[in-house]
Amino acid sequence: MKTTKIITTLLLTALYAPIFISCNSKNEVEKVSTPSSPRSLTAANGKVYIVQYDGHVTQLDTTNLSLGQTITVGANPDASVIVNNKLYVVNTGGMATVKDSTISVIDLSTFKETKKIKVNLNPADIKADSYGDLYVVSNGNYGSIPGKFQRIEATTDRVTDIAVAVKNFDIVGDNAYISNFEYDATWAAANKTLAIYDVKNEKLVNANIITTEIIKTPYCIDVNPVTKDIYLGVTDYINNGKMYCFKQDGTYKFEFTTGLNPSKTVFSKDNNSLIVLNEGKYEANNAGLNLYNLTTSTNTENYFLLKNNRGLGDTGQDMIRYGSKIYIAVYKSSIVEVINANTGVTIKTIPMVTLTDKVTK
Amino acid sequence: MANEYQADSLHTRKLKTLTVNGQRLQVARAAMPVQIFSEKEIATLNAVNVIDVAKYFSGVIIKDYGGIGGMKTVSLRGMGAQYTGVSYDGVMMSDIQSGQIDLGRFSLDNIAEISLSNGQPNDIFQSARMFSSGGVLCLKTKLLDYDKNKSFEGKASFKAGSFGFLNPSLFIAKNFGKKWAFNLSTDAQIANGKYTFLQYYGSSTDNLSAELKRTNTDITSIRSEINGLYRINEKESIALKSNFFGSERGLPGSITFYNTNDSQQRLKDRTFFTQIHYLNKVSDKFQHQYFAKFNLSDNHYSDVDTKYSSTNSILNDHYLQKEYYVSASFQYKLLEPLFISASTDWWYNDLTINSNVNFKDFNYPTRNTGLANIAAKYLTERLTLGANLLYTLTRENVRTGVASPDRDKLSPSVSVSYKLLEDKEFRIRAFYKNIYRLPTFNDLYYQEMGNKNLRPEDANQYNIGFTYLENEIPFLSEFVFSIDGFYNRVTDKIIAIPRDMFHWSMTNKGNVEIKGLDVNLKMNIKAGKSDLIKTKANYSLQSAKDATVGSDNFGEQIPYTPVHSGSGSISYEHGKWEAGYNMIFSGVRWIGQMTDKTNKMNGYAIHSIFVSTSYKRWKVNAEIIDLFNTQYEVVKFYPMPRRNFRITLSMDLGK
Repeated sequence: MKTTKIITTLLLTALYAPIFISCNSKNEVEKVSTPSSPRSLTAANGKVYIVQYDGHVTQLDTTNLSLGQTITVGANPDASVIVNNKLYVVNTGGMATVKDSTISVIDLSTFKETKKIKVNLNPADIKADSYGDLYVVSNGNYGSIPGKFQRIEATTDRVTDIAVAVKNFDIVGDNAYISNFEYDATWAAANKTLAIYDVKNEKLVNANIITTEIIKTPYCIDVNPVTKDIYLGVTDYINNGKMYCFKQDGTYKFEFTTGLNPSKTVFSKDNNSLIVLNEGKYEANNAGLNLYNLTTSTNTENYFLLKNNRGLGDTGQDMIRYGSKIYIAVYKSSIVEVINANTGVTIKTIPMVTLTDKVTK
Repeated sequence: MANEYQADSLHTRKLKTLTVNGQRLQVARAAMPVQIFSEKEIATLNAVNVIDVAKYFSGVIIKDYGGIGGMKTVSLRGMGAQYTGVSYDGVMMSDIQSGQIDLGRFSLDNIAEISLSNGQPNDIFQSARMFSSGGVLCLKTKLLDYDKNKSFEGKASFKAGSFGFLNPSLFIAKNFGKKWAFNLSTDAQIANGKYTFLQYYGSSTDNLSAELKRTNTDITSIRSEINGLYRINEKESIALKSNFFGSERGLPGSITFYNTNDSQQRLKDRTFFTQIHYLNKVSDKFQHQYFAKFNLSDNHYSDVDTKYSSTNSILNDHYLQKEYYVSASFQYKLLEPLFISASTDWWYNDLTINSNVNFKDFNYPTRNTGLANIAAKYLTERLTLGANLLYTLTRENVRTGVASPDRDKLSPSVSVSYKLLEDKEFRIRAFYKNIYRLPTFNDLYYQEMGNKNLRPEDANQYNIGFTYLENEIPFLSEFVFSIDGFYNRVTDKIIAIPRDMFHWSMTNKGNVEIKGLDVNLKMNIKAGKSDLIKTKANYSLQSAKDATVGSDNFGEQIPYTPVHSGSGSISYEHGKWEAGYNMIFSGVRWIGQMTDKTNKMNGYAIHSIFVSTSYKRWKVNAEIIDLFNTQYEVVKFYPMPRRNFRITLSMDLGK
């Protein structure tokens, strides 16, 4: 019985001791690298500008593919655009209780934020026309405050509302190509339209140019700057999506199957092919690419996997072609993937991190 | 359980062999299929928690998120984990928030028996809540038994294993005279959990791969339970139980390709419950029992991520759940083979959430649930007939916003087991059960996603099968075989449909049709003078198809459900030595549209071995888990540890 008592005491001490040990750690501050989560890419003057969700913009030198300076913008920035040597970044304030409603303006010669322009609540997308005007789509709070389509005028920075409903859009030449739809009672997309808005004369030209039936939910729109062909990507968020191609006047041309959530189309230099970025599902590691050859009308699915024997990563957010390279911002993997625009073979995978203070408890 | 034996004891005389294992007989005679593992069998399964044992049941789909601290749930015959009730010494565990019980929180050290019943346990003298699930996983702790000669029993043990796993535990039981009995069980588990794993950057093993290490995957947990039993007289007794579970763990999260930054998610949880049970076996004809329980669960989830820009990158979510539960059951013997029972339960749940970022419009819901059940059982040597009708009602209230509508449901079940031959324990059985699953508070009230108008899901279960128990072959000390074909249909299934990338909504849209087969065999063979070869095997075929109208996956296997799965075990007992081998396998699983090959998850087979011996008071058990170093995932992007080791040293403290 005595042995039992000793063993019992020892065991009870052994059991409860770890609790005290684990509670007794000190409060120390050390630096740890956290993923900065790249969201959008723009390029000018031999540099690619990487906008990251944790509030930073970083320069990438396109000749030696090394990261340069980093500056801080607003909260949770997303889309960006360059016009007249200025970089405009949308601050969404994503996870904040009070969402941001500003556009950060960065002078590219000094690479400093010069000002913030206030727009409607929760801005999501931004594009520029050749006259220096900026167009912003905002989502509001999905309730009492509606989303808006707004113009920021080139020199005055005056913000005006445009009475057109916009979900996604692209600007080529004097036209803004606007994709819109509404949700019905079961959260399916209804009343899908493709409108044309004249950015020079600042008026709606055609409320809907499309007559063919579009399945699922429109997700992205990109217009070829040379051929003016319109590429509309659709998704149901669960299965593979589709890419529709229409002529400038809305005539249906063709369609092909994409991966999950097609989010951006990038055209080759000779316009004989295009690459579609498939966002994939968040935390499903299924971002990918499609290569579509316009001359042979062949669709190569899982193009990146095919060429590099590995997946693209998790949540492909944005893609641009600059020179002979294609740059892809992979949001959750927190990398910028640089590939050869002609072969699709990877040149460099750049991890995007920020050093932050880590408080250990 | 004791009741079954009282009724059946008249009939065991008719069997030719004297000793028939009571548990095996229960399994063979059950009209609703039941599988049982006793404490001794659990010790041979390379198991450190309840889910490790559940992997050896047939007809189950396990979701294991990896490591000691990862979440673990069990789903039966394709219905979903929320249909699996978990009963702890007669009272159901609950989680009103997610509807799923994390099985990692139970210690095996004080468990005497784990059983899995399809439909419900066959005993009609149980609380109404025991009839309200699709199937029940019953955990029974070591009884306070005063029949034995000893008045004190105890065991101290220490387990150590790979990835910094340490598990000291203590169990002591003491009887004071004939009236009082107590037991105390307490253990702690600590692990750093840092296992290496093989990551493929694609879904094929031809793709590029890297050996990485799991981080932020530590766990520290402590479980304590105290039981007291007071025998008022030989018919009446009161038992009181108090249980505390506390843990702190890192949540490594799912794997993200190329992002090797550590996850900063942490989870602290504490659950306390206390339950009281009064039992009165008034006479041979009449008995009644009452339960009361209070449960308090506190979860604290935290994360550090720069996306929480307004709160200095810090997220703190606190969830507090409370439940008050009472139950009364009565059983009456009308005629010799006919028993009827009535039971009624009532319980109250509430949920409070405090977060620095989310849930600003939380409704603070509360729910009252009332159950009334009547059941009948006709029990003779050759025929067992069972039937019950369960009535459920719910009333919900919210502090702000709109509450979910009140619900009421009637759910019947019938079962039959018939012994086909006069002198052989060969039976045919069948059952039908209709049951529902109420939407959880997450389904109804989760910010931006919840849908207050969700209806309960509805499930119809059909089963037909055979059991055979052989006890006349001299070299077979045990032989039980069963084969069951089943058909389940779940309608109004609560599924999430996407509105956009980050916004999903809950809706009653799904339909699932499950057809399958469960085969079980337990066979013990006598060898040499007194050696024993113990074998068990099971195999499940589950064709669980999406039958949702308009679904893109219509006709395809539902996610995470392998068509083929099973397990096998063999061990050899020689005196004080025992050595054994266990294997579990799962076929291919899909996580989405089958036309997309990247949705395919490979099958796997995991082999483990153990050897144990005892000397006087001491017992030693050494194990190798995942002998062939197989890298596998149960849930996609949650890699499981590969080959690892464990050693257990225990000492019997009794006199």
